[in-house]
Amino acid sequence: MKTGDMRAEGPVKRHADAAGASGRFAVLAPDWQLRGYSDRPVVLVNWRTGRTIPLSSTGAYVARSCDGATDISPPLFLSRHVATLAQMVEQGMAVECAAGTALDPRQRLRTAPNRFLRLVNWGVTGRCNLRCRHCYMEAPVARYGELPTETLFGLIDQFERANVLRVHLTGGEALLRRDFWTIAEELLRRRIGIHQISTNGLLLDDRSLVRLRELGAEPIFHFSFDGVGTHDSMRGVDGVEAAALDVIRRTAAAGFRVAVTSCLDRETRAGILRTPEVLADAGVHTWHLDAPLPMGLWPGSDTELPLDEQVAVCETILRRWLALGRPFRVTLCRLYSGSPPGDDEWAATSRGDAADEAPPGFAPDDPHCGDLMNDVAYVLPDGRFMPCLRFIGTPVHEEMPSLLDVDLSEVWDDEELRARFSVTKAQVRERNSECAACPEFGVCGGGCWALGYAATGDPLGRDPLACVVNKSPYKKRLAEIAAVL
Amino acid sequence: MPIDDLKAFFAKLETDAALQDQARALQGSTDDERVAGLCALAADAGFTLTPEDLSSAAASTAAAELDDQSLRAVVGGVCEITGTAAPQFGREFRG
Repeated sequence: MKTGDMRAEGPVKRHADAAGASGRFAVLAPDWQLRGYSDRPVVLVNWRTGRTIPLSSTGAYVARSCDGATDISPPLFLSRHVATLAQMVEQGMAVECAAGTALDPRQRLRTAPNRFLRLVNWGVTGRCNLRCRHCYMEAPVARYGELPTETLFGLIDQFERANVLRVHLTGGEALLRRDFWTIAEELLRRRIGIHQISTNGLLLDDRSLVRLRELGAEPIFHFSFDGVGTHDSMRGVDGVEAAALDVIRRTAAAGFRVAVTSCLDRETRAGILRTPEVLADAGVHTWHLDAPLPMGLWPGSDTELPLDEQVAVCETILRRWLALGRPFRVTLCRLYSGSPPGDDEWAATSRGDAADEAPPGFAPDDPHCGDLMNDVAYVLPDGRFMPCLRFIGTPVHEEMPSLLDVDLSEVWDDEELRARFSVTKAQVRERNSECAACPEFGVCGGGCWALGYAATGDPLGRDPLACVVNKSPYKKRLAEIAAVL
Repeated sequence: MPIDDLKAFFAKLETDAALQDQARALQGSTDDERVAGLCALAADAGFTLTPEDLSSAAASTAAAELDDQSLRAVVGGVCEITGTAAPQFGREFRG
């Protein structure tokens, strides 16, 4: 809502200060805090929800003055400032108060020396209690090990110094760490939000869910589930499927947002086809279906499903999902993504249903991957920084710095590193003659930077699967099905 | 050009933490003293401001600075591979 007509005498009331003088005083609402970066001087952040609002100089002036001590009224503040304050109050970002009301020091502006860093995907252990056939982290052999508690606390210090807003805790199996809850509590104590927890769920009990709530965290839980009757075959351990489904149901029933990823291959295909109804019944929020990434333990697998057979599965699932009334968000391989009716959050942030929208297209100067070194970082269980997990196993992997040696702030602002990943779409098209001649390049853009590199060994190499997918009629076919049904 | 000076002074005030501290120090005084103090601060910073300029600015109406776009703002993108909405799910990271 735009509040351009809000007057200086808006909804913010005047309060008397201790000396009896009247004025307008406010503090930031408890969940909101101010963070600054070299490229975004003042950002207003809800640390629990992750809502992030870069502020103009006017907004920053007002927000910084929401300290319970500054009288936000003329002559030090103009009518536009008072109107901005009124809007912040209306939106629940600030609350009016009496003069002298204390503001939690953690809410005050704290400026990091580095660029904006929204999220760290943090593999807190390389160990796992399952033996998944496709594990990109090679957790069955604990390839990336596990760091001791005090080292992880040192990494949290780094996150705090870099003003990391939120973390995604993953593994290996994150809950296998005996100190998992100590780490979670430490993050929350420092008001670093827990955005997501990825887990196989076997160690997640109801008491833990209650404990998270008590700590004020509402993470998304991301579980793996590889099909009804086929889950165990992918996970390498018998008898875990029932427990996986049970924890998915319990977590959703407890009110947490639940996302599920399923891996499609020859062995899971039949079970995947039986899965939509089960996930709908369990109340999941999002389902990602994809073939395993060509990384870690997967390359060389003899159960890989060819693309045309993946398409057949996706088509069947899409029809079921539509018949069920689009009960959750879904991404089907690289072929289709959709959401429940009225999912405004999705509409505001995703590409949406392909049938309804023109392809977004790429401009020559667009980054080849807009995500790399943008606002999300990855930290492996051994402390190594990664710009994207898909570089695991590529030559890039071994060249990335370890946060045990270099501070995250420094790595994140490393100009040489940034230059290395600032490849443009024009460069990719120029390097690849097939792309230069391809009418689909505006949609495909050469695919995924990291997967192209992994497949070709060329930093400007095209992603072969994206090429096949975008030249095929499959995406269009699925979009047409969604549009008709 | 008092109006230009008024705009320029407040533009500086919004971004200059030291100037903000000086302005906040005027808070304990009377309204007239605050106006006079602010005019003096403006003069020190090279701007010409009168009490009348400040009165007129206080009486004017203006839009709030958090527009619809800002209030919706969530920073991040969508992964090319999954189409996943980044602000909700980050990049996929399947452990």
